[in-house]
Amino acid sequence: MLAIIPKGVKLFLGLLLLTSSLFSDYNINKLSQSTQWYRLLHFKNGQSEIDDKKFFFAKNGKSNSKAELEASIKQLIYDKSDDENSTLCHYPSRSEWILKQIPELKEKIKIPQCKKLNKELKELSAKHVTLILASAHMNSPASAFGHTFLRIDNNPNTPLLSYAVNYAAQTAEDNGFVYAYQGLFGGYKGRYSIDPYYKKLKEYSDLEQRDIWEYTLDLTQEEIDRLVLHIFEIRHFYADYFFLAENCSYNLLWLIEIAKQKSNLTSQFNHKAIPIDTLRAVISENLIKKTIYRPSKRAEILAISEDIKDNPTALKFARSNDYNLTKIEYLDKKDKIASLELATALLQIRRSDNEISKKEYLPQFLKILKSRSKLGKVNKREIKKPSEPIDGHYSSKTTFSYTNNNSFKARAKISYHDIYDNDYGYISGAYINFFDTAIEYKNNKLTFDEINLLEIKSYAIQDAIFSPISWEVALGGKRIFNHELYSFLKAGAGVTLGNERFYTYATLTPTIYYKKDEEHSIGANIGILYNPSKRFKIGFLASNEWFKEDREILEIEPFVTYSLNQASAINIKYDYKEINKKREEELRLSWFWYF
Amino acid sequence: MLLYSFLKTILQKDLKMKKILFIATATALLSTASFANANTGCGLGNQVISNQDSVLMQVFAATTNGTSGNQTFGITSGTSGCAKPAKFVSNDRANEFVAGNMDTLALDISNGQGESLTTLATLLNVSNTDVFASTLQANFEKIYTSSNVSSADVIDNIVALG
Repeated sequence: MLAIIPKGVKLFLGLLLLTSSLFSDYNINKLSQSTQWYRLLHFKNGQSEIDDKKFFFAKNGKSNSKAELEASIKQLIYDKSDDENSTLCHYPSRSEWILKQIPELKEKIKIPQCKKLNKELKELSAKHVTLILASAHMNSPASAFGHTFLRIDNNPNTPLLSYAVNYAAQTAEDNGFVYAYQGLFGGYKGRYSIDPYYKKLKEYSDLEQRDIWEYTLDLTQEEIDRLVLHIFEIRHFYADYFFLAENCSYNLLWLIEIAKQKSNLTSQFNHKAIPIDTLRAVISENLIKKTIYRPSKRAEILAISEDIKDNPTALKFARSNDYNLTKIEYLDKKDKIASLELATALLQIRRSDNEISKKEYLPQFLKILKSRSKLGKVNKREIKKPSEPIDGHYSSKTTFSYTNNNSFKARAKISYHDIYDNDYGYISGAYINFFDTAIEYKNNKLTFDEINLLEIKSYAIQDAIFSPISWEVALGGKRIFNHELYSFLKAGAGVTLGNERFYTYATLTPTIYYKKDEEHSIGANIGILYNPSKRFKIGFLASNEWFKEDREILEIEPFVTYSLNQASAINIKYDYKEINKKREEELRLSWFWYF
Repeated sequence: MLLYSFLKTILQKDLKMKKILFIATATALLSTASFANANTGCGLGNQVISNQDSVLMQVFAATTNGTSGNQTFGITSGTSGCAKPAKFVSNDRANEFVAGNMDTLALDISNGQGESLTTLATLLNVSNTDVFASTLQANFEKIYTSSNVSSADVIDNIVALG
């Protein structure tokens, strides 16, 4: 009799039975609207952010948390799959939560062993969770926003044995336009990965030369277990990846929130989630108990080179290609050690830049190390901690200005850091701006002044060891001749010298303008910037742009910025312009408001 | 001044030259040269080779964050795929760690200190890390015997010292 009843009806009958017993006893409605159930489903603004259909048991599970809860319970009860593929092993995070809310369910379901899952959990043996920030690297504005991931630690003394949990878009695209488009509009699938932490360090610290900041989270063992279990469920599924909002940093917040139930993180980020802002949010929820700075390979190399900065023989050996050991035979021991260590570091960089083959690299590598091993130990070199990224100004900005020509100006940008901002907490010389728009109000008239869709200035300082090329690009619209609005694309390169606090750049920038007709120009730009403290920044910028038919634009702008705190700064700027020898002058007082 | 007159000449007289300049800039922006990552193996010299991204890619990457080729779930359990050392078979984590950090470990041993060295000491249950480090440093040549040394050899050679 029962056999002829279709499967769907059978399930329905089962549900009816349940409804009468368990479902009514426990207010399913209430449970399905609980914060934790929403979080387990990555539910926000009425639907789940997970786009993988397999994540849901209910057909309308993506938008209906109640249907999904009922379907999940049903799935647990009627699960026929073998041990490893069982609902409980495959969806351990929600299963654990449901069984905790409805303990009676345990008697109604088959509890599988989950051997594979338990083996992996044992391998992790999570005792601590650390939020990692890979900060920006000089001359790579691509890294300007930083990157965050989690680290699962068993023993805090051996982080190299820990595991990194990373959320990323899956793509091997190397066409920039396709990459940007797909990334902005959800064309890639985002997934969580787990890798040994040492692999991540090789990538970020050694190869990309980025400083690493490690923030140990203040979590109990129960909270840590919950976080780890959720990783083991969510790893099977994808969510569409959006670079601005649903990105690498934002998706870590789900994990932290699931662990620390009383925290509120994902709700703070709706349209954009910049890594440093997500970190600030975690800090403001009092979730950090310890901070560790891990210097980049670059910082280590500069510290070694400091030891032998006055010894040309030692430096020459380190920079040579053949590493002739007889050249440093008679150096004193300390210099010899630094020379050999610097040589190894530079040799490794040459290898990772693929300048030399593995076959050429290995004999040299072992030769230098062998020589170094005979000289004993030196005291660990002190590496000065740079300003901490979280202490920099906030990442969005609005500027209100009053000029001596009796006009009011306002400008706003989504992010991030421009040449007039104090560099504290940021990489000196790395400027990147998005959607920077300016308007002017003068003589009862409101005009659109300028827009920078994207502006990047990478003034990377050359030092004793590294000689990066500075470069800049900009795309937008601005007023040039007769105050008419032209769209423009500017791209160029140059050199920056000095140190992090005081540097000078010089660049050449060909530019294409467009307004009905095309205009071309070449600009020469120089700037001197002095950023002595958390408060002060002083700059002198000058540029001259040559157009055809003897037309040119000269612009000189000295400025001073005084930062009051992370949220505001005062800026005074004198702007001198000559457009085809016609002078324009303006003194401008501005308030920078960061948020 | 010289630069000024040079630029002026270019801009006024030679339209072709300008075109070439813009094309050159555009090409520089668009060109890509990627190197494959050779990050597998059980011996020395397997560090990651950097991807030489074009400026254009960098510009776009700047607007974006956190991409990777594919999802990995690399929780180890002695599955490095490398030969196991003869004398020290039972410590999978140590095998795995040495195989994954051959160059870094060589560097730290030659310096007589470093994080990979203390980590290895922990994995091998060595109580006196300082003595361990200086013993290994003094015997660098016996551990890293040649360019072809494998991670299994390195562990065997280290264990042989004890």
